[in-house]
Amino acid sequence: MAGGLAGALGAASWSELRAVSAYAAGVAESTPYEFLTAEQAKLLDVVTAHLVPTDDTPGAREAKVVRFIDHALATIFKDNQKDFAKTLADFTEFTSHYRPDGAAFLALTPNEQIDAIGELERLEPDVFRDLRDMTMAGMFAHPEHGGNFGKVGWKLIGYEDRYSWAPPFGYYDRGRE
Amino acid sequence: MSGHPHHQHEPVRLLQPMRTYAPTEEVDFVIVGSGAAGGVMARELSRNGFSVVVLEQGPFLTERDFSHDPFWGDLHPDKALTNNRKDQPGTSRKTDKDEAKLSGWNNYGRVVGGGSVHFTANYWRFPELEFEQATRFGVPDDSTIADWPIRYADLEPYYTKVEWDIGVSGLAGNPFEPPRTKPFPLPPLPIKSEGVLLERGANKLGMHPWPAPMAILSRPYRGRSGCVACGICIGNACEVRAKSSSLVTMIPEAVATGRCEIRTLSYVRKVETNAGGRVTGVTYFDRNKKEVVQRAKAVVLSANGCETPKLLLMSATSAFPDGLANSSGQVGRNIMFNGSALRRGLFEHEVNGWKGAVVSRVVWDTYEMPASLGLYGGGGFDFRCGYDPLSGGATWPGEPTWGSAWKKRARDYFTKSLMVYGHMSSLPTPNNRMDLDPKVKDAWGLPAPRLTFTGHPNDFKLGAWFGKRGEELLRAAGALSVAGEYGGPDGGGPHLLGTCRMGKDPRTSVVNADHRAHDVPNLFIVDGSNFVTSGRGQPTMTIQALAFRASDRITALVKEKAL
Repeated sequence: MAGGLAGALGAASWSELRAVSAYAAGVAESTPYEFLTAEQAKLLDVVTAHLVPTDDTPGAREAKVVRFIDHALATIFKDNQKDFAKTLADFTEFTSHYRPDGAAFLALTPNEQIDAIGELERLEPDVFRDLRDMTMAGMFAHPEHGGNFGKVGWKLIGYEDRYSWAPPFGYYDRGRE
Repeated sequence: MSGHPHHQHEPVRLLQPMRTYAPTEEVDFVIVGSGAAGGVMARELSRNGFSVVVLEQGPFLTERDFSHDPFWGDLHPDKALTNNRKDQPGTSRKTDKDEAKLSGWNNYGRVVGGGSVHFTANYWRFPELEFEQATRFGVPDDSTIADWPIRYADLEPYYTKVEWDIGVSGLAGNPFEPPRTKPFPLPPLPIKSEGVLLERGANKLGMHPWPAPMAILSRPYRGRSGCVACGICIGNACEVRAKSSSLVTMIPEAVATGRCEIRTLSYVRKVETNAGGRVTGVTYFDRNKKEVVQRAKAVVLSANGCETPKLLLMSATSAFPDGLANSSGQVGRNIMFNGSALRRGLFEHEVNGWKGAVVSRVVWDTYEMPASLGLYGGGGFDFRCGYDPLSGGATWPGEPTWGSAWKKRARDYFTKSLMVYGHMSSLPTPNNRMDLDPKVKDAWGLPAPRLTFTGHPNDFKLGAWFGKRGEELLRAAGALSVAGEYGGPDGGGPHLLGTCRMGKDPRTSVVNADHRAHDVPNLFIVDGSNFVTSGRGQPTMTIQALAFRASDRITALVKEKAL
């Protein structure tokens, strides 16, 4: 999308972000999407889970990244709806050429999907970056925005949202406090 | 986005009632802007017995309104604490031949307290040489650099006043700091792992690391809390009043005089003048976009290095066809932003720079460069995290950017890396300037500020040198690998400097050493626009020292009946 994630983040205003907070408690599986079509949501579920897979630690699915993306596009990233829809369309178009038979991305095997995303990263870096930026925003933004559910993103990178810290902060300042 | 300025609500809470004035009442001073400079002017002039109205574009927020969510950080423009790109766009171009395009070059704090509410709080004094560079080092080709009309000795008492009146933490004795008359009022903030690593690297290279002077309280001071090291700091507003912004230092003390009104959501569009060429007040848009005239005996512009010249250019009349106070043609010219050279280093163990204040150690050996390098200007270094939790998706060159392989490294990138930041001077040039865009308007129908800017070749060379030196610092500190390549002048940002330069000669400067407009006897300009040179990267300390000095000078002029 235009300006990438920074532009999207920048478009949010305080009161609108505040209004999102009620969303934090998590959304039931059956809750309808606010912006995404069911098809787009299904695609994003698979794509984001390849970008941040569930392995020995939680990934995009546990963080509810797709719910974050959906809710953000309906609210704080509203201005980016068109751009993001185009990103998804570009993704669909690009990956449809992966197999000679023109199979849709979701029809590929998991290994083919991974390979196709790798090609996207090499050949369509802007489309890849938009998808990755949105995924990462869903992983690491404050949970009150709908993603980073259970703070799984923050746990992954070792961030803790405490209100105060005392030295030593890291390894190297031990003994200097 | 509603397309409206944010903060239609304004949950201001003051500890005492605030004096208010009717716009028709002629007050002694109208001050435009309530930031680093405007806050000081408001407190000093109201304490000196004058009636003061401060007109601020943004809302009056307090720590109860601030969030612990890095999403609020306004490193991204359009955020709650800064001007909104949609409502107040800027345009920029490289040269006069180019068509200016929308850009976010004009980034500034748009709340009571201005940029000081969200700044990093590096409070470096300018070195003595800063004020006399043209004399000492000459004027490079294609530069308009000049000596200041004042010297370090003129500002020293005011630098000290800043440190004691707002609360600056640090340690006297840095061999590269100019002479000081008093120690810091507060000890340095605790050293962080980045600081220890900077010490390690700098010592190996024979440089002199030193505790960073920071406008953040290391201990409780004057009724405010010490820093609790929460880490949501750069680009964010402090939730415990430890960051020494105008919002929590100067503004409440100005209001407490009973003579100062902070009038918010008030966007000044014109400085009014009479047939005698004197200022009579200002016209502003109130919160409902209704035009109001506030009368005043004198006007002080502290709106920042973009908004101040913009306002002067918008205040053109038949008597001042090229803009108010602009007989020199220098309003908007000589614009500088500082420069930066950035590299990241990945270390073996946890640095965790996301905790605590941004900077704990600095290196200033590079304030003055060896003549043999042929570089003009100089700068200083710090090591900092440069990441907030939203940066959890960070990558490293040559390593996977997604999937399980990336996931396994994400924690290392976040906790074990840091950034060396080279802060640099930048040169003013004859053509770099801001003016009014002929086409693009803001949400109030006022012209957008247009930037014309091409970095001076010296500043790219300086940036390349600082980048290389920064890399050496990282490696000497033990970095396992180093990434990044930028070094050069910033083409925009919050350091908006030089656009109403001070000087002795009315043909080449906008204000004199008293900050008085050469062309208009009762108009004063006090902010970063006055800078004749850019400094070595950290302007706010000097903006406030200038403001304290200007308050003394203006008060003296009134006493001498010279206003």
